[in-house]
Amino acid sequence: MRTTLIARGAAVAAAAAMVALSAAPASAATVSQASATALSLELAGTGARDTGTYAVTNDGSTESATGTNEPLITALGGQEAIQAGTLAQDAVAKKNATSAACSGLAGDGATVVAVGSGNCLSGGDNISLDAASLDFSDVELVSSGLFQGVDQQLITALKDAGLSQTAVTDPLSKALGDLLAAMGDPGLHLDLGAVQSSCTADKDTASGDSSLANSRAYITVPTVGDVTLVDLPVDPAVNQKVVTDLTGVTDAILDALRTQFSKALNGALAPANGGLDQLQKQVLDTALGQIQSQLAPLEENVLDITLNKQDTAPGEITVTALDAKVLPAAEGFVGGSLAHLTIGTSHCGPNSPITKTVVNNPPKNNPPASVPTVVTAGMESYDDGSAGRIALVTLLLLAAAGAGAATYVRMLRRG
Amino acid sequence: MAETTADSPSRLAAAASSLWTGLVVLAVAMVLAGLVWPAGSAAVEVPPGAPKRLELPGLHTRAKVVPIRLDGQVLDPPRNPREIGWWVGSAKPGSAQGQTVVTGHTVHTGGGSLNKLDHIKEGQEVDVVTKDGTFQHQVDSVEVLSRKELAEQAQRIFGQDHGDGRLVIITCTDWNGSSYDSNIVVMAHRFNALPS
Repeated sequence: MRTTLIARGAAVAAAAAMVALSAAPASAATVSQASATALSLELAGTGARDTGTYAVTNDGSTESATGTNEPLITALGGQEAIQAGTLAQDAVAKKNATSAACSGLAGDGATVVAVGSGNCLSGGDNISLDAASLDFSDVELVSSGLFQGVDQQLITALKDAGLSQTAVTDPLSKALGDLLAAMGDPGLHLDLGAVQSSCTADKDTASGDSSLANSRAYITVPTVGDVTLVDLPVDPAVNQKVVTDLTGVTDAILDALRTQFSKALNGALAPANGGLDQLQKQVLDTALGQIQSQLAPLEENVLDITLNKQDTAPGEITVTALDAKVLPAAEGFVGGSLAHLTIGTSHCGPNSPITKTVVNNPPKNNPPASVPTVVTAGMESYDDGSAGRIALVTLLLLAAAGAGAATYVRMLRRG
Repeated sequence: MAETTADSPSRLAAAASSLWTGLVVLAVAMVLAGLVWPAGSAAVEVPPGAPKRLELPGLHTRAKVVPIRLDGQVLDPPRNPREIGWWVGSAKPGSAQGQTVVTGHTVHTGGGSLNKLDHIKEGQEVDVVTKDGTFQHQVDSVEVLSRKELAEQAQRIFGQDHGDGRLVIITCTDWNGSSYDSNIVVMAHRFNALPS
């Protein structure tokens, strides 16, 4: 009897627990979520650093967060690309299945605004970020190739003047070395105002945007000064690509080399008393051609920059305000600097409203309302019957005319 | 005292007469004011109703709208290609929820009600006329979807659990020599309602 009572009590308790559990909200389900990462920096050969990610989720009753929403530049230790500035990364996830996030970077003095109202950074100084230092030390003259294609008669004339080929190639190599040494290692920089992204999501959709205040990419050439490569748009389109070609810089290098090479050749060929003008021209063109081909990657693009980069899936979105990578073609010129930089990565969704289920009262299975999947709104041609009506009227008119004519003829005969 | 009692009826009559005259003048003035005063549009609401006519001013297109129903999962426009069909399973124009779905034929040899739809641009106006007024819409997007893509996105395009009363216009495009390969889907949001 006692055993029976205990068994019945246990059964009742188990049943009550099952009902209680089934009637409770699906506590493990995520109703809303969002995350934000202010900055991520990967330097060539030294690994990646970032500000960490601040992530929030809401299970329908409480919001949980991981990471920090007060990131500091000092957290990006062990690098010199960026030393000062104001970071922002914040996110909210509400129990009504909505979420928002915002993240970005601005200069000192910027104000951080609470997430949810679009931008989260305003004001502040501009910040200069060293994207890359360009190393031209591998640019060289291939001495053995300088006389390829030169007329044999000119080479013979060079010998007749008592000059060897190295007497020509050595001064050119020295001129190139002197020019590159004077240029140093030009620095490629990003001059950035507030760069930020934001996003929002509800149970159905997610959207996001980015903005860049007063930002540009420029290069510092010791012999020239600052040269702006591109002004970055304030409100970039979705996945807007920016080209940072150095055509202006390479043209300046080639112009300077033309002058220096001409001087060097004039000196080297002076003993020939001006009798080798044609040789001078051919060697000069070959030398400049060699340099130009080596600089070609810089004339196409140095950085692969994508602004307002957006990856979307149903109900969720990831927005990155600025994503910059050194292109593989330009890596030969980039020494110990930026490999990959992202600023302002905000993620929102997917969100779904909380659903309650009760075992004893299962919800009705409501299949989605039937909607069209095919619309047959095309025809090759259409006959509305007008052609037939016109033909009939024409026939009647012809018949009437025939009858009239017959009557007229008959009357003439009678008359 | 005697003068007072003798004058009272005539004074009352004079007052009544002047009141009557004033009312007549006021009535005439109100009628005239009603004729010349500009009508206020914000105060009048146009109730949702079945569409009677679709107008695309930018394409110089006007077509009568008739109700159509689903055949299985196929939405077939009216047999008369000059008419446009309103899927009765979709929202009535002017509704706050769902979306109004209309479709019309593109005829390869010409004459279809929506032959020019492939020329519509974002931002252009589309009007739906009901018996109570005109709902003005502005085009938000123009998409060309293959048959497969349309089927895959059917809930987004035709579903009635979202949309906020937007207008969806569909016809065929991409004539391949014997049939059409794709559909044009135009989405437009309502920005105004003019009572008739």
